[in-house]
Amino acid sequence: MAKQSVFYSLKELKTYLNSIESVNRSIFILFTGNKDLPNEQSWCPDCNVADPVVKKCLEFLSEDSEFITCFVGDRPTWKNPQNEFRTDRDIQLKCIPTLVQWKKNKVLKEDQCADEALVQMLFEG
Amino acid sequence: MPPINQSVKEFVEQLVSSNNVVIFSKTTCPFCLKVKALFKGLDQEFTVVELDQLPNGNEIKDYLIEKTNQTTVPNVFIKGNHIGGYDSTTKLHNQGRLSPMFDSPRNGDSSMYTKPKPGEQIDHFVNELIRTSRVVIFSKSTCPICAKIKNLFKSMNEAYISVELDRIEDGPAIRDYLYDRTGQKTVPNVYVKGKHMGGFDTVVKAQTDSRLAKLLNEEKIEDDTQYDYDMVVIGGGSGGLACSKAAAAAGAKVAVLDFVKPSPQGTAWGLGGTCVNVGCIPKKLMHQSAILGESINDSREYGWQTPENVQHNWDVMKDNIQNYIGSLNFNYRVQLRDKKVEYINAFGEFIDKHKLKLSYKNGKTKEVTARNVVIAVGGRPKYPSDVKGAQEHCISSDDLFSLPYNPGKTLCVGASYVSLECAGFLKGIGNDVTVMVRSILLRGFDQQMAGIIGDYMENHGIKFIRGAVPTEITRIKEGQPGELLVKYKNENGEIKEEMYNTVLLAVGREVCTADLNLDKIGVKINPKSKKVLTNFEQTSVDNIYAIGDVVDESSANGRVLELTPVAIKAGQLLANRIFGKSDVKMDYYAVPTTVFTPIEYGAIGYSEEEAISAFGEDNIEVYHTNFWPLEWTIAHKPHDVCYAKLICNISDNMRVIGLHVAGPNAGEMTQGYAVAFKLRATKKDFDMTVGIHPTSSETFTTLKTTKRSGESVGGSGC
Repeated sequence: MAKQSVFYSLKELKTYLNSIESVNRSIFILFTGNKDLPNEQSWCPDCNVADPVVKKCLEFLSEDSEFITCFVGDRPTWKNPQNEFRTDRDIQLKCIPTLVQWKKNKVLKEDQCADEALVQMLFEG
Repeated sequence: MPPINQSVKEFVEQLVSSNNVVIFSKTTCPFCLKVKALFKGLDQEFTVVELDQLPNGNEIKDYLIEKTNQTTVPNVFIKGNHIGGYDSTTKLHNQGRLSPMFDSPRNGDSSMYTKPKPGEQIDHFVNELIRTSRVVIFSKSTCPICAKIKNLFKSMNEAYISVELDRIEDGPAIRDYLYDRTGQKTVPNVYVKGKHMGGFDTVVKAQTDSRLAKLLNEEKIEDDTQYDYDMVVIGGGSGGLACSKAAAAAGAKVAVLDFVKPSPQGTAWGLGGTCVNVGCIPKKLMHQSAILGESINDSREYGWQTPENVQHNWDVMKDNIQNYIGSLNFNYRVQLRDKKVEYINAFGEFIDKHKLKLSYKNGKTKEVTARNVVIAVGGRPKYPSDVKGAQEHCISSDDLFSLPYNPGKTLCVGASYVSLECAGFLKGIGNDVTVMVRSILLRGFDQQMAGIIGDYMENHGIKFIRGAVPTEITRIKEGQPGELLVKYKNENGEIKEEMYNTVLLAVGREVCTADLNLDKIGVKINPKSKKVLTNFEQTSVDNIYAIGDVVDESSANGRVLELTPVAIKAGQLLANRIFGKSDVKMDYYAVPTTVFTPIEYGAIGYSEEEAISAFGEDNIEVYHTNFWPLEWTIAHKPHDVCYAKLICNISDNMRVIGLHVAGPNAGEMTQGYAVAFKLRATKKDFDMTVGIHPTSSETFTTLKTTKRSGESVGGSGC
């Protein structure tokens, strides 16, 4: 099973990515909207559709790859044009959900993240 | 005379079709009397309709105007053909052509004019007309070429319906609609059985190679066979992807087959074809790497305290470029899925014209059927058969961009743009580079410009061995890179040898048509080039098409350049035509291109040699100049290297038919001027254009010196 981690801020995410810079493995990041505790549902409906599909496809990840879930905030935080994920030079996030292979510029956006075949294609490399 | 319950139109049509001669006349008209006398004198029976004697005479007159565009009487018909008035009739008689008409066979359906009904939508009028008529000619009554086309159909005994755009109110609107639909601005614009034929030249060509008669005579059999796909495209390069996406957007069920055979050195790649993986994209990025190296040197003159001996790292460049290519491969896959095109990673070959055999990597095979098949397999670098050790030891452009090590001291064999571009950027990143050429550089390109590129490269430390061919390559040392001993025959026929780390073969490309079984299904190819013979991308088999590098030169109205945007444009237009979205055909005239050598070279249209051979030296005026890019002044680069020329056709109002420029950013300079070529700009249009100062491109707005004058064209300032 591929290694999995979860982050809640840009700072946490980047600190971690910097710490594993020298490690040569495929890193996949799902940027998604924060979830509300009671029902584990996100405020972002597209994220809720994509989430189970991405989870299901994790089995296609190779053993030595890594899957990161990064929550970009609640609705007001994300909708702010100055949101740190939007303005960061390396990430430049435009929409959620977004699923990327880090450093490889392979990107799936919005409903593409809910397309099992596309997610599998990304995970299998 | 006409029964009340019969419409005027039926009355007139019935009358002219069932009588040998019909004269619409007025009893008060002296010219009508003369015409009647003429037919009497010929002992020819005729039917007269006196419009001023009939209660609905005016309605008949209106219908005649609609049908014939003629407002006057007499209005004469012979055997259903409209002859005209007094002048036309007597003229025919004087030429001795009137009497023979009485004996000629009757046209089943007389040729006639038509125009939209009042209030009818233009698109509805045109579409219905095309759908319901055998031959439609959009014409102008004053156009002699239109008259020729009409005569051509008359000579085939084929009735046509013409729309005279200059005689009807809706003419301009119909012309604009036709331009949208066909990409053709000019008349005649001809449709036969619903199929867009084009203008005079294309119709005449269709007649001479008897496609026109075939189209007119064949019974259209609706193919109601069920196929797996509406279209299968063989080849997932630029052309194939564009064509398949356009077809899917038009509602077709489409699959694209992509299969990369590894190079002799074992290199293979993902979806997207040559351009993305082993062509334009990595080439331009490595060229950029070389330009940055040059800028680092220039930077000191601009005040940067750049250290000496800045080193280049091949792996960093190669990895970043390959990463980017990987993302493009991935994006193409995503796009195909978004656009609902099925991607099949298998090799395809024909079993029959509708059936393909697919071979997968794992050895499995499968058969699929398709209503239409598009051949878009492109080409691969050629390996010469007479050079010992070439296959074993030489790389090609297929291998270079992903090479896991810096190629070191490199020999580039060939005078193609691929060879010169690779030599250029390898030298630019600091390698020792030699180019070996058998004869001229850049065959097919303007040779003066080829000379400028060669001189520039030589002056920048690239060695050239001219008049030479390699004969044998042997490996002396393994390694990354290893060492290769190259034996070659020089211009004096002597065998020489030299040691290199890498030998890159770039002696040309050959198309991958050999394994498709084309001969078995009757797709004709040019035996020499192995390229497919097409007519507007259709091959000799009616449901099979070809686009991109595999299209033979003879098939088009310009040189078929092996270029990604040519394949893309042709592929999209083809899909739109096949699936009825438009009738616009690919225009191969004046396709712009740029060679990304250390000094870039941009070109549109005719080379000087081609222009002279096509129009004659006396009809060609060449305006030219050297120019000194502003950025080069401070950097102490030479003022007499960059060069611009316009080739103009004196006999066609100084139409600009060739543009050539050598200098930095030539690609960016050239693209915009291609629009001017599309609009058929003249030298005066260039002269009337205001330049942007200070740029290199403004040179084209101020060209004054002709080659013929022999005046000097050295660089100058503001």
